[in-house]
This record gives sequence, C-alpha cells and structure tokens, in this order.
Amino acid sequence: MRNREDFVARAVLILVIGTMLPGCANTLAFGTATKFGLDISQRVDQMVEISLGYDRVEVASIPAPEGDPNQAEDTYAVLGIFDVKYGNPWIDQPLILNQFFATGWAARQVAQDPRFQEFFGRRSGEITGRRTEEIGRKSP
Amino acid sequence: MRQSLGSTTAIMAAIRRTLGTASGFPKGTPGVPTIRARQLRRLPQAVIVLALLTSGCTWRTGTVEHYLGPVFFRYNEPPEANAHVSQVMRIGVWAEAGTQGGLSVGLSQRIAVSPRLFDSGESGAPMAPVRWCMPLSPIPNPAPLRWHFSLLYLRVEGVSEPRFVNRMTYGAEVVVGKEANAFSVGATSRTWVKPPENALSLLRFDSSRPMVTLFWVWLHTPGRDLPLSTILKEGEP
Repeated sequence: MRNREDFVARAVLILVIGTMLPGCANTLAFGTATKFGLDISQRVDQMVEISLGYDRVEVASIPAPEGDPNQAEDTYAVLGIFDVKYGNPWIDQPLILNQFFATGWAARQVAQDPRFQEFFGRRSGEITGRRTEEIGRKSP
Repeated sequence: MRQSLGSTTAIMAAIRRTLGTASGFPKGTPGVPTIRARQLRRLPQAVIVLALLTSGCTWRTGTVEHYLGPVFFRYNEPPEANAHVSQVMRIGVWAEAGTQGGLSVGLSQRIAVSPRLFDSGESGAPMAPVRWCMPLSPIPNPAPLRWHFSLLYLRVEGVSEPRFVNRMTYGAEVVVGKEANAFSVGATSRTWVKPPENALSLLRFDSSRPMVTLFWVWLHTPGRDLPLSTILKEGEP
C-alpha cells in the first residue's frame, strides 16, 4: 500500500514538474485563459503561473532580438488589435475574440498606409473608451 | 542539496496525505450499515468500468488525427466556412499523444481553426479538403456543421496546422505540448493564437458559435502589394 502511495505521489510530482518545462521559444503568440480551481500552467509568453480559485489571463507575446536593433535586424514588427470580450462563462456568456494583426513585412507595409493608420487609431480609441467605461461602472 | 531533498519529501508527503485512502469505511464502524459498506466497496469497481467504457485516446501527427474511443464532433470547411474549423468533445478518461500529449479526466473540448490563406493580390487560394471518416460506423463520411458521434474510431486526414486553438476542460488534466503545458483540476478554458509571419491576419471567434469562426490570412509576397482596400473592408467590425 505504501509503495503504491509513493508511486502515485511521485507520478503527480513528475507531472507537475513536466508542465513547467519550457515550450516553443521566441514565437509570436496570443493567448487567453479562464480558470476555476487549481491550475499550474505555462502561458504563451512561457511564464509559469500557479492559481487557485478564479483567474483570467490575456497575454500577447512578441519576440525581440537579443541585441540592439539595427538596419539589418530590427525588433519584429507587429501591428494589431487584440479585442477580447467575455462575461460569466458559467451562465453561457461567450468568449468573443476580434483580432486584426499584421506581422513582419506586412506590418511595415500596413503602417505606411494612411487608411490603416486611421483605422488602427480609431479602433484602439474605441477599445480604450470601452475599457474606461467598464472600469467606471465597476468602481464605486 | 539536503534542503532540496527535504522539500521534495515534504511535497510528496503532502500529496500522499491529499490523495489519502478513503475507499470505504473500516470494519466495525458504529452507525454504518453493512449494506452501505458493501456498496461503497463496489464503487471503485463501478468507477473503473465507467471509465473504461468512456475512455479513449487521440493521436495527432502533422496532417492526420486519430480518435480511438467515443467522441462527439462537428466541423466546417470552405467554401461555406471562412476557415477550417473542428470541434471535438469527449467525456471520461482520455489520453493524447503525438503533437500534443496528456491525460484528462472529465469533459473536455478542443476547437481548432486553420486559416484561409490568401496570397498578395489574389482573391483567395483554394484550400485542400479535410477528410473526416468513421470507417467502423454506418455513416462513414459525416456531413459538415452537424453534430456526430463516433463510438469506436474517427480519422481526420489532410489537416493543416491550426493557428487558433481553444481547449476547455471540466475535470482534471495534465497536458504537455505546443498547444498547452498545464496541470489543472477544475474548469479551464484556454485559447492560443499563433499568427503566421509576414502576413496580415483577421480572426473573429465567438465561443457560442464556433462553426462560423472567421480566420483569414493574407500572406506578404516580396514585390507585390497587399490588397489593403479589400482587407480594410473586411477588417471593419
């Protein structure tokens, strides 16, 4: 009996450590998570997170070169809108993602276009305004 | 080193205490009828039988997915859909191997979306069809959009790499792979988006209507301009 308990305890320990192993490195990724209970997980930016109870996470991970940017090697270009709406998942309020993003050379081309400059500016303003309204409603 | 070993022993002792051995009452416990004790002794067997009946495994390689065991699923694909979308739901004990490994107990669901690719200046590149088949079922080729149930074996061929994945679990899971690295007990919902490099991507996802997910990607080609007017028109909410 004791050996079996030891085996199970060792297995749980190994699995917990296994979740902390580093995943894919230096990639552009976006992630969200809603958790209720005990959770030990690695986010898309490779940070290990331990939570007990309710938790929500939204993460954008954008790779950058190790050295200083120069003409040949610049920080990876990303231009995007990351719009997440979520309510209470236990009463059937859905998770809604609305993302629009350009990466690398496409981001450089888009950034030079005045229509996209106006579009990204306007959408960012809308999202920021909505967020400010939500904070205003929640605070007493 | 000694301190580290001491911590490990303490953690293992705590796990052992938490897991415990609560299988039935000890003999002669006052106030507990014998028939209750018998039923409780059979409970682990019943749980094992139920787990075996609902257990299964998934094997995913780069382009083929195998599901061995009972799963509910539905899918949608172009030209009707704006991306390749698949939703697979399973109950019980489930193992995963291949590109993503792990073990889960409870209800779990995975929604995977592969984007519809457009080249610069082109109005839309054709996507290779994904083939869903249940060789051991009376309906071997399930139709898109509708829910289906596969009892024994489901195979999906021609799968392209998903760039968006939503995983939801009610129960416990241990998963290791490129979609998630996690150990969790409770309810979890995770999404993961990996946009392609040198591209412009548009994603609209509603968890209450996953089959209408829109995921379009315009790839940048050197020397050719992206169709910015078309993209901007589509990008407006």
